[in-house]
Amino acid sequence: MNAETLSKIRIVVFGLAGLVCASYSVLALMGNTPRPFSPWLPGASGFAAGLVMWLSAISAGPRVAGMAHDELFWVEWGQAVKFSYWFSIALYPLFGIFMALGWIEPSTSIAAMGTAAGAAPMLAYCILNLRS
Amino acid sequence: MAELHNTLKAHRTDKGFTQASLAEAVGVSRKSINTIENRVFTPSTLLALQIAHALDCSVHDIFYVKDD
Repeated sequence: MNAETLSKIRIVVFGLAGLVCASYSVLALMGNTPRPFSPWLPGASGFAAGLVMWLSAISAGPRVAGMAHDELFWVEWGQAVKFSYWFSIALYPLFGIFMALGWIEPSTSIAAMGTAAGAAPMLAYCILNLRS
Repeated sequence: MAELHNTLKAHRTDKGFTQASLAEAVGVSRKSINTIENRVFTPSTLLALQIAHALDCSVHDIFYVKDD
């Protein structure tokens, strides 16, 4: 396995886990329910993504894993995390307004905000990486 | 405003490196080399020195500042 393959695996697993979390958040909001589908799925997809990346890196070896996690990766990941930080903070006043207007229940807010915050760095990284 | 430019592609091809082989030589992904050549990504001092070393030239031969 080379660094290119490892990078592609990373994009795919981040993308899939991010989409599961984002779907959970959007469906929770749309249905005003804290359980639009199994609440284990977002966490399990994140754990599976980490496991796949870890196993891929182990099988590729330390040199190839290092090449795939080079400084470009850390710069893009840093930008994704920075964006996600402010995105997650912005969710608080936004959902506060939704709750004040009576559009959603507090339990729905927690589910939607939590999964949106989880999806943000993974999807932001995918977008940044695919754009560069 | 001063901007960092480079002649990495010319130096790389002169020395017979592909993006992938240069990436392998300095221990980064091919995409890093590609994004440096296209001025999307500015490498660290360490990576710039490693690239210059792999291409057997000075950092100043590859990277230069241009006032736009």
